[in-house]
Formats: sequence, C-alpha cells, structure tokens
Amino acid sequence: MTGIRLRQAAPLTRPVARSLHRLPLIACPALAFGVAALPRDPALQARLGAMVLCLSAAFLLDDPARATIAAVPLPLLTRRIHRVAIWLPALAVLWGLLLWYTAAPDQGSRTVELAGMLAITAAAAALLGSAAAGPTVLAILVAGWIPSLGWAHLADDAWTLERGAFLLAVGVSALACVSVDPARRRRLRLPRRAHAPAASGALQG
Amino acid sequence: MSAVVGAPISSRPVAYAQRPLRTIGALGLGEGLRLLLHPIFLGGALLTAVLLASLPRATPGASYWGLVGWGFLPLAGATLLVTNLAALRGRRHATEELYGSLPVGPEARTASVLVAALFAAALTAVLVVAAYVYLGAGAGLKIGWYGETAVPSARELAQGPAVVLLFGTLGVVLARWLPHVVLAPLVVFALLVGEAVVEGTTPVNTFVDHGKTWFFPVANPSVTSAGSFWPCYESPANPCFVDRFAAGSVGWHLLYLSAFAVLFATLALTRTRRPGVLLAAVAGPAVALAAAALLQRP
Repeated sequence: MTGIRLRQAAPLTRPVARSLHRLPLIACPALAFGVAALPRDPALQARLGAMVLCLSAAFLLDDPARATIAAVPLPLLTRRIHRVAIWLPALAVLWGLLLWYTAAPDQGSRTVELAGMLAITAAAAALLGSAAAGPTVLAILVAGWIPSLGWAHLADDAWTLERGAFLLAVGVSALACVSVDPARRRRLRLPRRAHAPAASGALQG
Repeated sequence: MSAVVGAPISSRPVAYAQRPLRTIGALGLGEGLRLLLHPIFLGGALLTAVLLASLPRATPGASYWGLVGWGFLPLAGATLLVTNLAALRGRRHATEELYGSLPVGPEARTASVLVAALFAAALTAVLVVAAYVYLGAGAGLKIGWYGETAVPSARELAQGPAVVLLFGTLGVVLARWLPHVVLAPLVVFALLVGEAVVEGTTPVNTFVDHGKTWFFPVANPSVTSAGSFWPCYESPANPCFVDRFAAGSVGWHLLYLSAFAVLFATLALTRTRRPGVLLAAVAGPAVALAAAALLQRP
C-alpha cells in the first residue's frame, strides 16, 4: 500500500509544490532569523524562532484546490502528509541553521519541542483553517509569560523535552483525528443511518 | 411614468447616501458584537485575565506593570487578529464581488470594523476597572522588595485600552494594504517579542531599555536610579528602586498611540476611497504628534 501511495505521490510533487503559499514560507523564516539576531538568551531565541517556523508550516495545509480534489482516490491524510513532506527538507535545513546560529544548548530536546509545536499548529490549522495557526502560536508564546504555568515558561529549559513530547503526542493525535478522509467518515456512519428508520418503527410499534 | 424615467440614476440608495454614519453605526454594532464573541478575542481576554490574576505571585512590581499595560498585550494581539480577519472576510470567503453588488461601499465596511475596535477598547476599559478592584490597586500595589507601594494614575491605566484600540486599527490597515492572513500573526509576534525584549518583565527579560520604551505600544513609566531596573527581577540581589512614575510622559505617550490609531484608520479608509486631501490633513498632524510624543522623555 505504501509503495502505491509513493508512486501516486511522486508525479504530484511538482504541481503540489507550485500550489503552496509562498509568502508564509518566506516571511516566517525571515522573522525567525530576525528574532535569532536579537542580543539575548540563545535558548530563548531558538524557542521563539521555532514558533515562527511552525507558523510557516501550518499554512502548508491551506490548499486552495481542496474542494476540487476532495473526490480523488488519494486520502486526505496522505494529501496532507504529502504537502508537509515537500516543505520538511527546507524546514530541517532552516532549523539546523537556526540552532547553529544561536548556539542553543540541548538541541535534541529543542528539536522535539519544535516537532511538538509543529504538530499542534498543524492540527489547529487542519481543524479550523490556517487562520487558527497564528492564534495557536501566540497562545503558546503568551502562556510562557504566566508565572503560575512554570512548565510553559519561555526561559525555563528544565522541561523542554517533556513539554515537546507532550505537545507532539497531543498534536499528532489531533492531526490524525481531523485528517480522516471524509469518505471514510461517511462509511462509518452509514449503518447507524440505515438502522434509524427501523428503530423509529419499533418505537411506534 | 415620465418622471421615473427621467430621474437621475443613483448607484447608492438614498438612505445610505443621506445618512452614511447611521449605516456605518449599524454595521459597526454588528461587527463589534461579532468581535466580542469571536473565539480568538475570548481566548485573548481569558489569557489576559489569567496573566493579571497570576502576577501578584510574581516579583514586586509585576502587578503594577501588568495593570498599566503589559497584562493587556494578549488581548491587544487577539484584537489585531480578529479585526484583521473581519476586514479580510470578503477576500477569505471569495465574496468581494458579491459585496460589490450591495448598496453600501467598501469604505463603510472598513469603517464598521474600525468601530468594532472601539468595542474592544471599551471592554478593555471594563477589564482595567475589574483588575484594579481585584488587585486592590486603590490601596497601593507593591513595587519594591522592601514594601514600597504606589497607586497607578489614570493616565497609566489608560494605556491598556489605548493599546487595544491601536492594535485593532493596525489589524484593519494590514488587511486593507497587505491582504494575507499570515501577516497579522507575524506582526503580533514581532510586536510582542519586541516589547518583551525591550521592557519585558520576568522571566523573559532582566532590564528595561528606557531609551526605547517610548517607541513601543506599552511604555514602562518607571524612572529608576542608576543600577536599578523595574519591575523587580528574581531576588533582592537585583535592585529595583523606583524614583517616580513619569505620568506626564505617559500622557504624551497616549497622544502618540492615539495619533497612530488615527493614522492607521485613515490609511485603511483611503485604500478604497483615496481622498488625498483627507490623508494629508490627518497624516500630517498624526506624524507631528508622534514626533512630539517621542521627544518627551522622563
């Protein structure tokens, strides 16, 4: 099955890449490196840069042709993975450059945190549209200011790995749930609809 | 019949042409209610409430600093996002051409979203009063390690609503001149990080750059002695002696914020109507006021 999907995805790569919104893919990395250039704490700079990079990835799911291609055989989850996978190599390079530039410590934990924030932002974008990606990232940023949320503190490095793993688990689960193909969802509901008239009939009887 | 045939054809109904303010007011009421009930705005209000409620447990001065502006930044950011989305509604839903067939022009829709920003500022004023009572600011808020207290002035308290209004108008002008949904979150992010870097409280920052604070939306009004910084940071080992709060400069800062709000509103309206004379008439004083406000240092 995976081989078939890969064969289907290969010829689609170029047209899908052309359909990606270019502005977020340029503006977000530019702002990420602008934040990294500030003369502050390297760990904090890397975290803020990761947030902006996540924002760029969330706009990948914004497919202007989604209504037209909703009926193609390729499932929704595969189409979304395909769109994100096209940008992932560039994102990996940008993240590597950001880590190298800021010389932030605990780079493995920070990468897990980036993946977690990426999954959460993508899930929000998939569920509510790309307009929800910005508020999600900003909510993560502002949560880091609240003194009582110790684990969310922007400058607190003690919980980086745990926070990243938590966000990753929640984000991937949510993304998988909201990316179930609508055709499959409908098939799951059909038996209930088929039973409905019989049930009402039984009640009447 | 001949009178009807010979009547001049108007592109706008008489009601709108004669009473545009009434139409804009009605639209603004709808937009304002939509803004107040928008999930992003409600989320921003919740974050602001949680932030303000948690600040008394932080270092001395954090409550005062939150109440005079810093605590309302999440709400301001949310307002910018919501006004931006509202002004981009036609573009996002591909209904601009459909709106073009309506009797009310695009400038009225822009003005109605600007009116909605006033609703956000009014709600912020209510939140300021509620937070003032909740934190017991009337009896003085702790501002130093050794029990020093101070009561925020009305001008300082007005910073929060003014910043929310400014961000609301900025959201509209961004939607009109740079219509892409990604730009508003990036602008909010840059503004919040800029504030945090220049004048943030713990744990993001350890100092206040008084030379730059008056350029940013929320200005830190403290005037500290040499070697001190405010709000206090981590422990009494970091001194935070406040000489005074520069209420006079905050007044000028409010004028600075208002001038920018007027400038943004004018720029947003001129995108569709282009009254060059009006732009020159309003932008000139706005820039002059901004320059005057910048010259006022504590």
